[in-house]
Amino acid sequence: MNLKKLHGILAVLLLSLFVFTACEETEDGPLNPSTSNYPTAVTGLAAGCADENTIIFAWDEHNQNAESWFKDFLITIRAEGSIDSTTVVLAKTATEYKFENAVEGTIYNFSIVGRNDDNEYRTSSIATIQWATASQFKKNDNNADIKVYASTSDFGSGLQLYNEDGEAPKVWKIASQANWNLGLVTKNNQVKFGSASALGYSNLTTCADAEITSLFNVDVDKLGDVVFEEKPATFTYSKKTIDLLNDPIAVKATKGVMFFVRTLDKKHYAKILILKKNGSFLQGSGDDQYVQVYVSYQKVENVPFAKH
Amino acid sequence: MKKIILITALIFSFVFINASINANAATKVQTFKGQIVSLDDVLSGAKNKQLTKAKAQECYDNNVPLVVFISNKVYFVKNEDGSYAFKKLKDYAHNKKVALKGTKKVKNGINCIIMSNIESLD
Repeated sequence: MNLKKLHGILAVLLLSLFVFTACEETEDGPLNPSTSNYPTAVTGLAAGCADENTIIFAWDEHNQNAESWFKDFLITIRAEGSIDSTTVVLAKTATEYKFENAVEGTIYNFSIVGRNDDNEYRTSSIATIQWATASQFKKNDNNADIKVYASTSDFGSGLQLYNEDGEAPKVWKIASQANWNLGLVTKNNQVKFGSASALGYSNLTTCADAEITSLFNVDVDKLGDVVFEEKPATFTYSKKTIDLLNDPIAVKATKGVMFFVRTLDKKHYAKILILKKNGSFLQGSGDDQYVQVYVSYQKVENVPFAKH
Repeated sequence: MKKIILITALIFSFVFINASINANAATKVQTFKGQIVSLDDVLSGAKNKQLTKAKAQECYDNNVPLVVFISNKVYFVKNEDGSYAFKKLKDYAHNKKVALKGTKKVKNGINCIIMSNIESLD
């Protein structure tokens, strides 16, 4: 080996030494630390319908969200029967998500899971719920407030949840009792609202009728303000009336009371809100007093929360 | 002199009472029950004047007047602000019968209801 070659080899060795020294790893720990911590499943997962296109999903604040290894929530929404899904990453402090692209009558599967700082999660911690939107009505078929009139009025005391021709709820007089799902009775100083057949009107013989739940323990004046952990199909329904003067929830309410309804064929579910104003459900004066209602109605048969 | 005062007082009383009666007659709120129809159907003598939502909308869009038919008489309907209530009548036209609360006026042989409220009687 001549001197020139030796100098060349030494130069390469020195250069290599410099390069390796300059690129030396300075961190003490490993580059990808793995953690054994995984967020637990969210609790209190519930859903509700704000309008025809918006489903609200809500859950309790996660009790591990102060942990540094808890990174975020991964949310997936998929229309039933579809292979496409929407994935959203939410902050770990989030307690609500509004899905605003819903199509009425479509079932949506919602899942949520917390991820750790390795973007990993336990499949056993995925919480899921199904929901669908419904049509919301504050106006009747005449594009006017939905007023169900007192027994003394010349106007209708019966409510049809949805009238196909009018494309909205419709209030009918007793002569059209076949269309009555629900109704109001104010005879003998009572104010009762509920299933048509349970109102005590003697000539309601062939009414469409409906079954209702008891009042939910809420005080609201907007249908979309309430979310539910259970499908409406799981509630208890019967033909009955709600005593708006004496029911403890109705007495306590200041804005309005709410309950669920289902048609007798169990295919359509609805949510009814009866407004309370100035301490009274009965509004107006004289013979034409009335209760004002909002209706949330599922036009499409047998969507998930109508399944039975 | 006493006679003149008495007669004058009587005349004034009569005028006042008469004016009060007229004022009451003009402002008396009544309930009118009838059917909302298209004026075209009335003029053409159509047997079935019942409107659907779609037909009522068509009338409204084409400026065909909607009126109320009560005991074979046609009534134009105005809102309390003086405007014609065609839009409101359009919304209720699919009902078989409606009740209008308001006052009745007849001018130059044309019947008119000044409407304060309307409700379905179906």
